[in-house]
Amino acid sequence: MIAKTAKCGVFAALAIIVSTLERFIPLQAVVPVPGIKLGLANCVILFVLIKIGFFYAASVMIIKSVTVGILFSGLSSIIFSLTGGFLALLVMFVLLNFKKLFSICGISVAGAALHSFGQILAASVMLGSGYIFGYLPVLLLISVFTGLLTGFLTQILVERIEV
Amino acid sequence: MIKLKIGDYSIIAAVIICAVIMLMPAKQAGDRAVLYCDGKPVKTFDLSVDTEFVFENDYVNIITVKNGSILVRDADCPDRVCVYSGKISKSGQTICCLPNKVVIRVFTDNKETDVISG
Repeated sequence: MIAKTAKCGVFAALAIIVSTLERFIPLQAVVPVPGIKLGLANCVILFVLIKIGFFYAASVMIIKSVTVGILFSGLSSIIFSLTGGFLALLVMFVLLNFKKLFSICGISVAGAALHSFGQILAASVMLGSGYIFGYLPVLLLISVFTGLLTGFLTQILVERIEV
Repeated sequence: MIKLKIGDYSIIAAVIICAVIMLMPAKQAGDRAVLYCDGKPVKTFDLSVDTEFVFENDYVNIITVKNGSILVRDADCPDRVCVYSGKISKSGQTICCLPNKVVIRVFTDNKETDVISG
């Protein structure tokens, strides 16, 4: 328990670091959609989910979202991030129970897609306008690529790193 | 390298199909654009009249209407997604500036093409 909590602290720090580094990749200049990002922190969260457990992964996700939000992007982005993060975590947790059917890449794509949906849902509630759902198709298509990328990285991490 | 299982392909297919279905509605040229702030309509632009409008809220968006399309020419918001979005002219297209709580959407009177209304 104590060892796991300490490890989660390290992973939370790692998630914050990769989220910070990711900000230097100007993805929104290539695909101009609000909230677009690689989602490298999902590697860390998915890794914790697989190796340690659901509640530890959830705590890493919350710490990462709140800290990154306070440091850089403000309250509204914390809400977008948490809504997307929780939906993504739930779907990944459910799919991990069917390891015969899904590999880590597929689970990661599902997580990325649900994260996009959660983000847009929170944004539309906050803006009081459903029009922002017009961005969802583009976000979903990008999710397939970013999800495969982060899933592939997580696969390598899970094979090579023992916790 | 990546070895995908049958479930992975179905997830990817499902996500892509969802996205394509949402992109389906045929887009036709719009004739007006409405600027919403916090979900409330603030100003309507006639796309046939070239104009420039400065909208101030938490941040500033400089909005330009030219040759039947509308764009955010400049903004001082942190992410500048609204500026990168470029110009829009088809009914149903949207520019959002989340930091400034702004949504700009193009409409047309010809036919009701709104799938999602807010």
